[in-house]
Amino acid sequence: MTEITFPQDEGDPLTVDLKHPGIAALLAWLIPGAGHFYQGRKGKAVLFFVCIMGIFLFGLGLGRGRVVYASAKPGDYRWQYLCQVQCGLVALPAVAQWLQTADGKDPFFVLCERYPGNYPDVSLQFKKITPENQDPQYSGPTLKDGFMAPPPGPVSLGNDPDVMSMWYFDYRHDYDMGLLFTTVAGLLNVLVIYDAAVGPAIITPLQKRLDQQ
Amino acid sequence: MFEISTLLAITGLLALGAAQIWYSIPLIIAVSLVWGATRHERLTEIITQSIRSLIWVLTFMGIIFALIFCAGYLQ
Repeated sequence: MTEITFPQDEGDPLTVDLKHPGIAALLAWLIPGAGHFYQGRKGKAVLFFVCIMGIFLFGLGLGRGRVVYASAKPGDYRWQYLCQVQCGLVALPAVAQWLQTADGKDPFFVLCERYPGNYPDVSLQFKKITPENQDPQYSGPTLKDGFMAPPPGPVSLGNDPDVMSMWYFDYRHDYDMGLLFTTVAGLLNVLVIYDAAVGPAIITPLQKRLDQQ
Repeated sequence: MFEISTLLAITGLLALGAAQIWYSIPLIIAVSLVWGATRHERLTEIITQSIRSLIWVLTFMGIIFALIFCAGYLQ
């Protein structure tokens, strides 16, 4: 059990019971707010859960389930995932998808299929297969977008199209906004994990006086 | 003066008319609340800190908007 006490300008000092800080930090990482719930700081737990999960899920929706994925392919090092994964469990399916697709297998939870990059009709390369543009003659391999899976097919290192460029084409600024929301959600949860582990960064009256001097 | 600058920032942001700007609102609110809650423990202090952060962020965005807007005129 770890308790910290903050002296106040007026009234009784504020005491925060951190219980087992390591466990609280782990829970805070797994589910935003869970660490605070474990410590009995229920109001803050609800606030963190609603704010962080809210913007994470909103961002995931804006990016149609494609903004959170893990990848280390040349030309597609997904550094943003290091931020997104700070949201814990909700970002972990991306790891399963990464492992699943690493040797070219189809992802779990397929969202749509696309024509491959070598499809004879250039205007349909990498495009989504829809009832309007479906080619009944074509029976070759297709590219499959998966929920939280890396973009299928080759990654273009130049200006040639690839699936990632089609995601930007299909979802426009929603894709960027989704990426921003999910990345910021992860960064905010770093603050929450810190708060669960060592308590709030309260400025005490002594620190205030030192700052004023 | 602070209130005027905030008003200017909000007016500037809304005057943009771009749909994308509305996406910033939930993000700014969430960031302000989480920031406030990691610096305080009591609800009133969290809300006060959050409002202060919200105003600061909006003012900062307003200043950046004004700079870019003026730079557009100078082109």
